[in-house]
Amino acid sequence: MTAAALFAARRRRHLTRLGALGVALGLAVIVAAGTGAMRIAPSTVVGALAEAIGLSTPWATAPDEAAVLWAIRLPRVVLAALVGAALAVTGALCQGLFRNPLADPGLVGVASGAALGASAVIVLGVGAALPLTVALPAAAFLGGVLFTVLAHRVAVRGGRTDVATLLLAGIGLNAVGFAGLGLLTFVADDAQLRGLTFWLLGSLGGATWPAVAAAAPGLVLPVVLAAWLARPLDALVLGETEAAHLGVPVERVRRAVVALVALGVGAAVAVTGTIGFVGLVVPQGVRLLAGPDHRVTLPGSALAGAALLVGADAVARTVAAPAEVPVGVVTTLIGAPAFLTLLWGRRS
Amino acid sequence: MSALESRCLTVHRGDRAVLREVDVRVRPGQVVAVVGPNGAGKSTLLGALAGDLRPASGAVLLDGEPLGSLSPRALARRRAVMRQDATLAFPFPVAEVVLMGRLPHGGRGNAADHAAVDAALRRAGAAHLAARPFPGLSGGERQRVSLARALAQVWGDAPAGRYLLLDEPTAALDLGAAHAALACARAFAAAGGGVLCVLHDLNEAVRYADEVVLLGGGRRVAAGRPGAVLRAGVLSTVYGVPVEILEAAGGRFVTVAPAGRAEGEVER
Repeated sequence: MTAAALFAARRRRHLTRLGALGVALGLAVIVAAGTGAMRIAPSTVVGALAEAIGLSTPWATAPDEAAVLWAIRLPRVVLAALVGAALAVTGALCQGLFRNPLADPGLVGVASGAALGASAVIVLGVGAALPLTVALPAAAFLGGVLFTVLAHRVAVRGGRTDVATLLLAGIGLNAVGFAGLGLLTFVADDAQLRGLTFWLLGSLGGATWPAVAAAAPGLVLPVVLAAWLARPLDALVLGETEAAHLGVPVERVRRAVVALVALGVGAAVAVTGTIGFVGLVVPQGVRLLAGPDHRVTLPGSALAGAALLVGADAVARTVAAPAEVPVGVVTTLIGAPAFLTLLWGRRS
Repeated sequence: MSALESRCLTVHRGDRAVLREVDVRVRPGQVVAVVGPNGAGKSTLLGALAGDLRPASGAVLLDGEPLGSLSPRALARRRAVMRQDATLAFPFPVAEVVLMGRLPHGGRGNAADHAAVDAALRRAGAAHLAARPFPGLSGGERQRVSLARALAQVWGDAPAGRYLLLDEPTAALDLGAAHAALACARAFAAAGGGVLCVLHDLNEAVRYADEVVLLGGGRRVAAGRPGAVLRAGVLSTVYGVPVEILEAAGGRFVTVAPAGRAEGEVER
């Protein structure tokens, strides 16, 4: 087989897999938007969405259905999609940078920094002058960025980022974050403890259009800018020295990845709390499904991460209705078996 | 003038000088072999010529320009490097690995890139591996694929004035494959490229190199035509074993003298 035929076959495969993931995301959005205390038929959801972009369909939306969809369901579904995409793409970026499929944004300390920032607000009343809906995300974002910057500072030697040191610095900072959380848990009263626990397990309950709009730039930017890193990250798979031999500006790529991870995870944790597992497992699943090229892993992770979190959140708010199960628990319960199934299927 | 060269090159690792005042020059059309015992500084020299290591003093020049003045991409268009023990973090197929060699030329995967990949795989004797996942290959197969990737980088259209740096390209190869790899390096030189090749097998250096650079203890001990450099006396000193040069079948062969034949021999 010539290279041209081989690459054409791979490209077709990439496009069909991305198409399938796109369809999965579409279905997840329609079903999730219709699921809840008031059930809304999928056709009605499609009708309402089509109407919003100026298309007319035979499926009419009742006023109360429209109100529930636009005020309650859709902001939450959109936020879930954006957070899922950002977490999965930053996970894929980390795995590419560390050349390790088990790498996770948590490794560079961003998640624990964000968690510590948010906990300080909940328990110590840091930034009490501001409304909680502003102070909490702001503290989480700043904590995440601060920890990432610290980890990066420790790892820079003579203008070059040492990836192994970055990893170790992340472990050290995670320990600091964990100890800090432990301390805050110890001093918290019962009400604070409940708020803290709920926030640490992650929830999309705070989704409103203003919250979506505030978080959107931080969530969307890493997903979009990651496209420019796809080929350099492919080259990095060969090793950093080899990538440099191929003309890749390795240090710039490293810094870009760290910056995008801090931004994406910081913004995600700020609005939803820590939602584990998405960044680690979604890229792995996409790789098993579509192959290791970052040109398909990155957009595929965005679609699959969005679909996973939209579906997980729909489950989280319905299984124990009217109570909500923390969505981080659901992502793990849905994603881990799916991932193990993929691994199982590869044994042969 | 056209050449990849080091001038009075000294390289430190930590506080220790591992290369001292070494002059090497590779011109287009030439295969230059770097030989010497373990720890002599062969891979360090290759790393410095590739631009991986900064000289403590002296300079590395590509066609008269210091390497540091070229952008990574401009440099990558003019020289390719094949190191030992290629590993891959994710299971890319061989053809994709070779396509990465086209990255400095745009590497979007157009018809020219595909043709370069096909040609490189064929030249490196790896065409039959194109669709296989790289991590599943044997050591020798990986080495051929790494050679193909380096060839795709500098032998797409015009190899003239481009350079290939090979670190023990035959280490994991059998007799036939080793011959094919070095014949490929010779063909690259015949097409106008320059090759610098670290070799362990002195007989490969005798047979395929135009010039040999003998390193010992971080210094250039001798350099010149293989016949002039690879002499029993200097090799015995540098390698610390009694070396004999045999002449047979119209060629010269380097071998370690059998026990009891030479005085002052080193054990093992």
